[in-house]
Amino acid sequence: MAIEPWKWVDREHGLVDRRIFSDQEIYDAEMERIFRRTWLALGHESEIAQPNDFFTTWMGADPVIVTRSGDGIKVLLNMCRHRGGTVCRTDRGNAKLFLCPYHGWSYGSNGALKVVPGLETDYRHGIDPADWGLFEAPRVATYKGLIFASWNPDVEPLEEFLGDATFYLDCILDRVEGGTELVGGMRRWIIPTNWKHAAENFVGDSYHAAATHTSIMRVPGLEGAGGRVKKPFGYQAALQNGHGVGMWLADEEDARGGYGHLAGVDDYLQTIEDQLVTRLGELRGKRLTPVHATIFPNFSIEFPFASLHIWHPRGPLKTEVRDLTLVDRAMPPEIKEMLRRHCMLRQGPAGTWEQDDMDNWSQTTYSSLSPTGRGLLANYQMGMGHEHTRPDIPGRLDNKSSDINQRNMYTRWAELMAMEPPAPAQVAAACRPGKEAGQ
Amino acid sequence: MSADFLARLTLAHEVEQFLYEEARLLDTQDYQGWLALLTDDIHYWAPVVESREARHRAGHYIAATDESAYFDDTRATLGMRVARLGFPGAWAEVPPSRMSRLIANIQPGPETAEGIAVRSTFFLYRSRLEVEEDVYHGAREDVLRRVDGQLRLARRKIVFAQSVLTARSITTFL
Repeated sequence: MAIEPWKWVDREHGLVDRRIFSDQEIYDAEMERIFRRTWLALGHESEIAQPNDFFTTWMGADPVIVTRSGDGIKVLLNMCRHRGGTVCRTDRGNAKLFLCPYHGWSYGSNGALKVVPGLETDYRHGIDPADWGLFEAPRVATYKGLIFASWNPDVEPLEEFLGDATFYLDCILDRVEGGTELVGGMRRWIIPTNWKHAAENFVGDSYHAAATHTSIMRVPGLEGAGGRVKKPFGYQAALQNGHGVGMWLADEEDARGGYGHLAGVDDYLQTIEDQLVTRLGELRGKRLTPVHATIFPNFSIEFPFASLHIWHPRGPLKTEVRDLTLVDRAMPPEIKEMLRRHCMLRQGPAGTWEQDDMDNWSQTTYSSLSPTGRGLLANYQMGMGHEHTRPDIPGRLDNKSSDINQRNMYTRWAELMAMEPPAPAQVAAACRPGKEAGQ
Repeated sequence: MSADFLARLTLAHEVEQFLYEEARLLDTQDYQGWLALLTDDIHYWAPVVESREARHRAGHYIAATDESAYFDDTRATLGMRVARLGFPGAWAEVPPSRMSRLIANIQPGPETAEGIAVRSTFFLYRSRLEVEEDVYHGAREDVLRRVDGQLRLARRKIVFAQSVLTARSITTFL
């Protein structure tokens, strides 16, 4: 099957062919053309605070180790360069050496090949360990604590990739002195859904809340946390590179709303309000609260306290979720604890919000297996023709209930899918000793 | 048969019957009945699990009390979860799952002033819609306490046997 993304994404009419949610060949092309080309969010610097700390995760379908080596943060393909054994089998830890259990090749936390048993006695002709280090992502960068990497050496600088999304990300990443950290550990589970159904929900789908989360609205204490400002109005903002964010905005001066069940958080925000205004300005300090966002392709945020979701594709019909809780380093311990519980009760497989989302996403994925259903294109038409801008808020804007961000995301998806796949990773020329011998 | 042995046998039987009755209430989704088995100060906790080096806590890492958890609930938040499940729009349970759970390896300690520490394992099979399936395995560490003479659940720590849960969601209690 030819990869014809513009046939599947009809941006002019806001229609999407459902086969992109279930087709194996399209999925395989995504892993090459999207996940091997763009920046991908991997985690947070606080997860690898000490030298030689590491955690393992995924870049698309590639297993990687994220380490803090003497040479800085490294993102290494978790594959022994010898026969492909897994050199790190654990989720997290501290290691100076990653040992392949198969033949004993060992690598430093910077990926350099340190030990080859029998290098002299058995190989005899000699191989140069410098040519056989763990394959590392050529581009690694952080944005205010968040770690990103890309397999693409020519990828644009991270801040350029994030673009105007930084205006919104800063509302959680840069609101107080001292930055952010993660609550320890993460919730991980597998949803039977295509990764895009999760990403598109967070990129711009405020519309679903009233139906999907109807049960929440009726239980005091389970409400969301979008209450920093009064809610007279909200926007979706479609951003470059497929990113999108939804927000509440109050135009009047005294816009403080309140968190109800999180009264302590209200008090905390009160104490940092001067800092907020100084660091973020009056608009973001007092009147604007981002609510949800996706950094395309697979990094989503539930603001403001903040639940980070990374959607790792596991085949067209499965997604592994990593659900992390972000807090300000400088928060009093009791506020961190309040927010840890807040996120626990809402997010994750047992989350009172999230479980109903996941149920819907698995249904929308399954329906895309229906041969008849596939021909009946998915409707992303809400708000078409109502895009506008305003000088103080970045992005192309529409009402909070709109598909503007989903159309923007699938347009970016099609742009990337229409490009030729990036060049495959290759061994160094010196890795072919026969050639060298012939020189 | 010594009196001491008989007393332990009687206690073990009482604990087992308590846990079996609890399992029945959960399988039949009688969550109000389940809440009635809990003490007012219950701590219901399912910390996340990670793979770590074998030397670290016997092969896996169980998150600490200030770290991430699937459940970290009080009587109040368990009540919220139950109330939510009672509404028609709790879609992850529409229509309700069919559940069948086995509680096994029940090992009660002696009864002290703090209560009875009980270890057990669970296996829960969940079927939904036509052929959607989820399974949940793990171990539990409970503390049971007598309230007005009746056994009640005062503490529960649930340690899943998976680090990445393959279940799409957890819409019940374990």
